[in-house]
Amino acid sequence: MRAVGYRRSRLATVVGRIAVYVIVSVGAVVMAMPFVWLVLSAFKTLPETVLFPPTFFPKNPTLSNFKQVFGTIPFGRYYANSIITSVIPSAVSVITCTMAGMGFAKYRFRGRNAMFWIILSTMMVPFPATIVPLYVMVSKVGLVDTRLGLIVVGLSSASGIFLMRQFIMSIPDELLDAARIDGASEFRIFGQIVVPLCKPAIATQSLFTFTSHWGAYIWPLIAVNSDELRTLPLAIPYFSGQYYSFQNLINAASLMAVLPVLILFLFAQRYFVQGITITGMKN
Amino acid sequence: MTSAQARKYRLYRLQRNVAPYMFVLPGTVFYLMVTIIPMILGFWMSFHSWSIIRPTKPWVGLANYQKVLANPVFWAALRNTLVYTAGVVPLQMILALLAAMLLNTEIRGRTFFRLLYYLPVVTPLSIAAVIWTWIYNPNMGLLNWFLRTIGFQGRDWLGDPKMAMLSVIIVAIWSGLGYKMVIFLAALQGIPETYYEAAMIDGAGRFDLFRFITLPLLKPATLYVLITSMIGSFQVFGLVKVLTGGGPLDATNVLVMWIHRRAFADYQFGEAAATSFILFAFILAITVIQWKIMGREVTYE
Amino acid sequence: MKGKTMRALTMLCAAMLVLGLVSGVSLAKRKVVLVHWQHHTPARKEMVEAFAADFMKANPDIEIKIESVPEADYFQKLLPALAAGSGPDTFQIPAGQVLTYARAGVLQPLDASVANAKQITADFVPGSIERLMIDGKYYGLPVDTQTIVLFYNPKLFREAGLDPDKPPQTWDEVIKYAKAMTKRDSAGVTAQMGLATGGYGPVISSLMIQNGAPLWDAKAGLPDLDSPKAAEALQFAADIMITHKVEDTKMGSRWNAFRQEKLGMVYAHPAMIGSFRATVPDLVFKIAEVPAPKAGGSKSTLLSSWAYVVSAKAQSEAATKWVAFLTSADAQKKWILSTGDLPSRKALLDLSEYRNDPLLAPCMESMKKAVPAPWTARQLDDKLFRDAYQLMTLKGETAQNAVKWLASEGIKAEEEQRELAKP
Repeated sequence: MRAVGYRRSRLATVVGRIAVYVIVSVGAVVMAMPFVWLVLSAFKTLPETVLFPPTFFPKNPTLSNFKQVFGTIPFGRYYANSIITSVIPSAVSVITCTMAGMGFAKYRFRGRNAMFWIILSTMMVPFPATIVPLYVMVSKVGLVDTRLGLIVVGLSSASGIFLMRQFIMSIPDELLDAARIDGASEFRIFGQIVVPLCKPAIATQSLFTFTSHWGAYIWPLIAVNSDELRTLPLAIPYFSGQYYSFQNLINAASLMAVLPVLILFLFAQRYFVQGITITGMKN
Repeated sequence: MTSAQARKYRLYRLQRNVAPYMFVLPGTVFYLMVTIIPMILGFWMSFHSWSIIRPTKPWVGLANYQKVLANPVFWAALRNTLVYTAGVVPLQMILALLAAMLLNTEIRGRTFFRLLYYLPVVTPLSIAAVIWTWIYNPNMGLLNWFLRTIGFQGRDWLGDPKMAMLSVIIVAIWSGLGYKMVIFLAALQGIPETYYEAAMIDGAGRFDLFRFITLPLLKPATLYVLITSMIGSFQVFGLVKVLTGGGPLDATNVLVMWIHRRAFADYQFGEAAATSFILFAFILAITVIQWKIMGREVTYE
Repeated sequence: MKGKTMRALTMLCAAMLVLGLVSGVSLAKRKVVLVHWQHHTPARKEMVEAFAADFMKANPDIEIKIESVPEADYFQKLLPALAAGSGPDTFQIPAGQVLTYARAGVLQPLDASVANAKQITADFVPGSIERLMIDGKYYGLPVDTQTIVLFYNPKLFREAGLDPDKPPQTWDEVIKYAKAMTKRDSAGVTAQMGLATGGYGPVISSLMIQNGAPLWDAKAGLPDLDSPKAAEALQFAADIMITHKVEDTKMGSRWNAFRQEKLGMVYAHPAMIGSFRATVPDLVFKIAEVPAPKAGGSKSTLLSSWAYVVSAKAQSEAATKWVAFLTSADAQKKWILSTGDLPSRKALLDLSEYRNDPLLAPCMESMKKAVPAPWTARQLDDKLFRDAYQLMTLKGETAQNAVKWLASEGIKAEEEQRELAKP
């Protein structure tokens, strides 16, 4: 951990560091193994994917799976659709959730607790009970089979509001009061103090909403009919069914579908790396 | 006070009073539209005989609830759900916190390790299921091969009713760990370095730092992770659907799996909705209890 | 000034009238659009899209929009759409569900001017249309027609000293063959299996049908599954695994085992022809009718099929035309070649091109004998039979107890579904 001030022998430190590496590496192997298998399998031919005992490394690595995926479904269009229907709700919901989190964490107002609990409680209703009424509503306003219909369900999220509330809660009130004494408006406090301090939480929340929209399956499945609007996850089940299964194509398509989220993770995690030092706290 | 000052002050008071509502409004309104209204409609549905394809939906009062509570399959499914939750939530949280703390230290390849731990979260469930089915394969799978190598007996992980739930739990822990780790990471990053420095100057040991600084300051994030994982676990569906479909012999038939089957295979939407709201009441009660125990100190910290 | 305004107004009115007329005319000439949903396989999608192109060429006033839905999620998508009234015009549902959907008012009968009931009754195999007629009217035409046949691997037959041209004829024989083909390594781990059912519901119910179990109490309109004959058939299925040990779930998926030539015989739908050809084109396999319980016994299996139906809101004539087109003799000839769907038109079953095809001939024979499932409850299509089988193989229940359980669960499920299918 932090090197300052530990009164420990060098040896103990070295042993400790080695232990950390060992634990982290073993964990990483367990965590990543299935994914490594997916990557390797994406380069296997169809007969090789059903071989048993299975091969670990592809015998004759091939790119034809990727070519075939692009050949059978309009992957490019699905990509574009997925990006649109993930980026917009993620961007909007991160704003609405951070704002709502601020409201619930830092103010006392009439109906606050009731509102917060109602929002929280919506997370507790299993989806089969609400998805049909939601679909009927969306259909009544004519948004079935439109991009807006996909986006509109993701403009805010209960878990996002909850997450941001929890994080903003840990920002000391003194910080906000100090700004108030300086005459800052509430919105200014939000923009200039709370948001910068919440960067790790905002990065986390963006990553989560993006991941969940990117992987969303059930709502897009029922809300979209035309091919022009389909998203990536909808494409993958088409490669398997009761009588057939093109495991090689599933692997290739999945790999391609996963990559953007991984890239996003690499960007987002920068914000976890930058530690935040709250200054001006001591007095 | 001059009148200009007074006006300024009044404006300031106004924005102070209005601000909370302004902050909360957009998120709440969007949410009201797409979730709370369907939830109310779903609740209304649970008092009707609702077969989805029939236009007539007679009011049946509490009959759906009575039917569900009298059905032994419901109680078996509830039991399965509890076993699943007890198996997943505590272990996953501890492992996620451990991973976050280890990956928050100055080790080489930290970014790379974080990425690896996050991989399962982005791996599509259907793929994860295929991969794990292979790992669990009794004769050809990695797991049994490994166990046999170190001198243990292999098992039929997904095909044996006694083992199936454990196997699902393992995959669940694997697939959700990265998500929780990232939240803990973000929370750890929010702890000001100065706290640790001050404590270390006072001569605090490593464990003291963890016990008296890290843990208390992680409380809001921990509460979030605990409550959301409980809520999520009680509603587990996708993973079970792709791994076992609820079998063998309903050994992994968790509540939402059963609700889904009742609704989309048996057309019993009213009953499915009633079951959903029974589960809802159950989760709500548990959340309130957790909140009461953990939340108070956090709120008035 | 005023006159000018009046004139302008009159002209405006006239213009609007003309516009209205023109748009009215164009409205009348506008194409009928039919939205068609069905579950997906790559071959089916390609096939139906080709049919739609042909159909639209022949009927320029009708436009078909096809949506192919993954089978595992088909009902998840269909039901909300039906509830919202935004569902398709033509779609498919399991034949056993037609009654429920028709009574709910979701469907309309086929347009008699296009597809007349007498003609349908005369043209189709009775089993394939039995569940599609309600109150003297047909509500759909059959698709996805499947029976149960025995796939086997001639290479493994030869290796075990069996004659690939003489598939097993009786249950005793099939077990004998299976034992000959089963191989275990020194540690006792199964390396090759002789025979597999997978505990698949339609296979289990087919074995019961073959064994002469009643399955259905017509008087009560409920399943009748607790009979010694049914128990005997279930025992046979379970024994394949428990007693004879020629099937071993530890080998994983039976389809993969068959693809890898590590499974001698497997009970399957003829549709697997298409699957094997698409995934392992080099695999040589043969097909026989299922072996009978005893020499000369029954080879009747369960006929499972879906139906193309017309939704209540669809334009009746156009939709019926399209459904009839999809199930025409020409179409069925194409179906069997690309997707392994058996023809349900009587005239096709005896075509010499099928009679002389070693793979298709036994399928056609099985089609003639197959009997449709009498129940409405979808749980009986697979889950309950599979569970009864697993009660024996996993929990060591006796066949008597398993069928008793199956019977009571079956009645419960059917009673509930019967409620939904009330007029």
